[in-house]
Amino acid sequence: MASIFAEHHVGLVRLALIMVGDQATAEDVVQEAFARTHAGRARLRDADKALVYVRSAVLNGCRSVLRRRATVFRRALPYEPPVWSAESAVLMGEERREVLLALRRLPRRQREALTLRYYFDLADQEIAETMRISASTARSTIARGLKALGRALGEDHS
Amino acid sequence: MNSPVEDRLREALAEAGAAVDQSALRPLRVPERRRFRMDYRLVTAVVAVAVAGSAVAVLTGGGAEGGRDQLTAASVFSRADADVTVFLCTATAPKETGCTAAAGPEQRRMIERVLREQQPQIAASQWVSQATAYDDFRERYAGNQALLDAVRPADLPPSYQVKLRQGADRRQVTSAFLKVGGVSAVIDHAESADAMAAAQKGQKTDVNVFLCTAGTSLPACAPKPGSGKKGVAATADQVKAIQQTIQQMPEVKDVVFEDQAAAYENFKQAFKDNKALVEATRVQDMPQSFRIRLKSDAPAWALVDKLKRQPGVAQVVSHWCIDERAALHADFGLYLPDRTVCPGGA
Repeated sequence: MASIFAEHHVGLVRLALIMVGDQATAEDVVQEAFARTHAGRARLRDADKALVYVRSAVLNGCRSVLRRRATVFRRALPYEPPVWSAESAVLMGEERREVLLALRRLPRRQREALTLRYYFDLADQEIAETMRISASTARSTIARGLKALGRALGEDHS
Repeated sequence: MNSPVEDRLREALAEAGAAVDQSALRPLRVPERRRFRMDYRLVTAVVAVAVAGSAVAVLTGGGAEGGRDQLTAASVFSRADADVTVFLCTATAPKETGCTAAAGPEQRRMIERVLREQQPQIAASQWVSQATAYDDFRERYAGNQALLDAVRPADLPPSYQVKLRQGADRRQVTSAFLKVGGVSAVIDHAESADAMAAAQKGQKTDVNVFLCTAGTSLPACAPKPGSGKKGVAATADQVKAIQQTIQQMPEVKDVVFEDQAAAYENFKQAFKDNKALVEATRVQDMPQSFRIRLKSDAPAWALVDKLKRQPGVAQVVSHWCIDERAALHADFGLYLPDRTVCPGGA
């Protein structure tokens, strides 16, 4: 498990970054997932599912962060993390930022499924296992997410 | 086929992900101190199985993960060990590549099918994602900020790197991949290394300074900058001034002037197999040039930049720039214009 983490460390941090928006939090999430899965490593029977398991743990960590944030900031100003913030717009270009902002406004499940498909190029089955949903749900979630994203970006008029 | 939304999403995510700097990551801390030695051995065994398992999963499932995933047995290999690289189309690939959109999962599956069909010829293969390619690119060109600024993470094509078996039919393997849709280029690294070595051997000069000819459309030769009018030829005074400038440069070992007649002779020689081209070209079409040899092999960007700004100079071509472009194409599948690859000019 330790090597899985070492080998995929950057990839996992990227996944978390896209979900939570800033690198420091993303690194914390991965570290925490590492610590948690490390304790349970002996129980992991299906060795070839290790990466799926680890990704799943990272996604879970991101969900808790977002939940925590939602509670803390409920009455305060909306929190704007760096990746889709105005400062990063200079580095990133308005166009890309617009896409990320639209992605962020999608329901949690659609956002996760789209990231796993379009950043990590995972197949339906792998996405399903990572998110603990069925393959057909993963497929329809992606389709719905894409449609919603297209509407938000004003590209899909059909 | 990918929809525009899919392409935009892919690009935006690639860019957001690339914000993570691999070298700046805090290392993971092992939370437990007890029984460390034994745990370590346990972990290695688990990973050995996991790696074998994921290879099978990738071959049958058709999907792969962010990093450098292997598709066939044997350990992950480095770019330098790859014999053939199959670059995929990206949404930003220029027209020359024949790409119309980024390669999608169906095209990936087609390529992986070819990988399986060519199994008797292929020793190992691995998937290199856009993110990994961008990391490698950033590491290789860490000293060239202008280039790093010009290339976005989404520009780097993902690829399959292939290691061939001894005595494999290289031509057959590369042409099998070229037939698949969504492939922007198939590079045979042995061939491109040979071509580069041959080009360097035939290279007699380091920098060629081409002068303006009448009627050229090169912007540097326009009578007024940006006027869009046809260019005017370099005057005798300008030629003299350029020659003096070159001769006063401390980096220059020697310089030869090539007039239109000599240029035409060399041109005829170089393109003797292309009768139509030679017949269509007249002596007065050929530009005059100064052919410079430098004292050292190191790129002299300042010299190129200064010469480029001399009145009467149409363009400056340096061999290290051509080499760099070729390397960017062979190693990263990038097609970049000279002005991006070479600060200060071609």
